[in-house]
Amino acid sequence: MPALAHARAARGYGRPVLEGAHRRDVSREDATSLSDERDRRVEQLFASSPDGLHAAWSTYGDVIHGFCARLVGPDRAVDATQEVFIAAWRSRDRYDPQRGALVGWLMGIARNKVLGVLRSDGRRPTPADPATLTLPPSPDDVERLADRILLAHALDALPPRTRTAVQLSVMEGRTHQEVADVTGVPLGTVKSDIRRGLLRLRRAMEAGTDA
Amino acid sequence: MPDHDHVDDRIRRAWADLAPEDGTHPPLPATAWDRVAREVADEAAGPADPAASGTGLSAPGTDPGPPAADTTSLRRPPSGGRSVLLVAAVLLLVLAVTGGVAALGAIGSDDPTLAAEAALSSEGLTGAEPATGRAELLRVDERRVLDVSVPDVRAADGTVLEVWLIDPASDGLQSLGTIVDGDGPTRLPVPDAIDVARFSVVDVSVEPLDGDPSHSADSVVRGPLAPT
Repeated sequence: MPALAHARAARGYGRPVLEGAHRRDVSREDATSLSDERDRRVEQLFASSPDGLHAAWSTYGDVIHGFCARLVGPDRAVDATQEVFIAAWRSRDRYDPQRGALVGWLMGIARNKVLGVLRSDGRRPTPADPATLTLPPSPDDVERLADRILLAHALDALPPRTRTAVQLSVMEGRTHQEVADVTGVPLGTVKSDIRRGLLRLRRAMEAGTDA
Repeated sequence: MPDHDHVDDRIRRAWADLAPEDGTHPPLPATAWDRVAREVADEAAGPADPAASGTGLSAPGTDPGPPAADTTSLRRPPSGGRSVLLVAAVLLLVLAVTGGVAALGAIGSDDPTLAAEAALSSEGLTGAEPATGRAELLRVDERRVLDVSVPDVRAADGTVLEVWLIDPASDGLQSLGTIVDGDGPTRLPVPDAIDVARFSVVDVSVEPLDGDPSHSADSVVRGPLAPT
């Protein structure tokens, strides 16, 4: 334990166990920052050249492919995913990183593409796995699946501590103080975690609405 | 931008309905990029995309080959960015140890001597507003001080800006004190007991005045000390 932590513990100011946990959490926060940095870098590269499109494909292609496969089936999902990225390239001037994450914007294009494919087939969306969507499928079902996949993608990038804090606050309606009491994390850190976590989740979800 | 209430409602609804398969996706076939590359390359030859010349994308019918090094590195690793962090931390430590120990430990004269400096930036810090700053490690009268300036950042009511030194190898933290708002840099003493070759990254965080002495994880700028 560093000398400073010893001193704090001796004075009774600090929380030695939590301080140790916090130092590990700083590492997780940094790891998340690097994930953020990668996403921002892809977003900056995306519209600048086809290499940027390739970066987006490498980073988000599987997410878009997974969404398409759930709605049009695996046989047609690759074609749909390709068309999403081609359409994204053609309308790249419309992507504004200030309005949300690139993956959300791509998902908005994918949602429209899937609905178009299904309309052209003269049938309504039929989930590949009926258990994952409530029948009868509708454009709203497509949108909900898009939201769930985007949310899962964003949650995957959150540190466990941040995810827990956001879950307790957003899903269970607990106050910041209650979250701090439940988790044993300092109140200031809880506030910061919830703010950062919500910013990340909102950003992932926002851009798809105007794609 | 959509209002937050609407987005938060979508988040709650999606979270409540989340299924395990929502986070797992079948991988794309390796050759799936070919068609996209062909289409984009065709358009790149037109006038609509002056930035697309010489992109290295594959010609029609050819395998695109491995992606450019920078784009390959951008693909999300299965375990997230932690391995990247470890590599960065090791590099920082190696650089600090091999290049900086002698300079950082040098005893200067009575005149301030610049031993190391750090360009501080918000880049890569989650939730941080764009900001830059500077830190200089000086020898003054046989003592070490750190001059820190963050002109782009002001502490909001109920908060202070606190300066830390981070050991990138262990994520250990040492607090140096708080920044006093003003035109010039804030000078903070650096006790001799702190090994700045080990605690080699300067971090400035926003700290709520809640009596909790630990780091809030709300950093506003950060940067590695480099020996001069």
